Amino acid sequence: MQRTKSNPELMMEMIALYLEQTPPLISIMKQSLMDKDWNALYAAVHKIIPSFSIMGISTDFETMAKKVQEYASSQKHADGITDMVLQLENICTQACIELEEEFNTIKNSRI
Amino acid sequence: MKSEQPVAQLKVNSSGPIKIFLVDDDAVFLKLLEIGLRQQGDFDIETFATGERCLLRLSHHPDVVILDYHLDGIDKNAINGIETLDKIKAFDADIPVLMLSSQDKIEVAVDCMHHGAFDYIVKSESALVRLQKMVTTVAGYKKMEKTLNWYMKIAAANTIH
Repeated sequence: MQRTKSNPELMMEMIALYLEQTPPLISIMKQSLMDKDWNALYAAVHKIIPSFSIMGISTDFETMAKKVQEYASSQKHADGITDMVLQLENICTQACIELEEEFNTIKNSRI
Repeated sequence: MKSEQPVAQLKVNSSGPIKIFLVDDDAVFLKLLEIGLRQQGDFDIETFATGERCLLRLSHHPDVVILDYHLDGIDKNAINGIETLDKIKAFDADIPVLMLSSQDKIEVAVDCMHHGAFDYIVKSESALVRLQKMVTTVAGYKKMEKTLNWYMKIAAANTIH
């Protein structure tokens, strides 16, 4: 987001894309874990990973997401995977809340 | 009779900005790439969320395509990065394609190179810097190639006359 800081329009555009893309990915992540659909879980986590660094989310969660991806690619349920998916859901939901606030702040400051 | 056009006046057909196609189903990363590249140079950029859409616009003759490896993750009916790469190469083998992936795996890199990718870049914080360098390199090669082709044509024309 460093690249967009000096440009509120780009910042809003990036946030809007994140807010549009992330909630469906969280849903797929949770559903695929419940269904033991490892390919879908792998794909959802794979797609969510690059946005961690873009949105400034701690690298711990990126590492965690990569672990979930590894478990998913090995096609088996491993201890702790449910907890990790829950933690990823929480951090992404939190990011969405904070980014929505940021989006509204920028929007209001431009009116 | 030799060509009467002075060498100094001859121009290589390489004017205008470098035309880049960006293809990624990750809308956030796609936008980041677009913003990053626009900030770093004078590029004519078209973005696509799927390989199919990119293929439909190949008639626009991109100078370089930056293509995600994993395009069929969420949409199972979408064509993947390698299939897209193959179709680009079938359309025009000279279009350089830079493959992108979150996976830092040697087998993915080898797969891409076997299918004719110009290079393989892992999505990371430094990916944008590497991409920009690669795009500049590719543009340099293309310019040299065009210059060489032009000289070859002139040489051939002079031989005929």
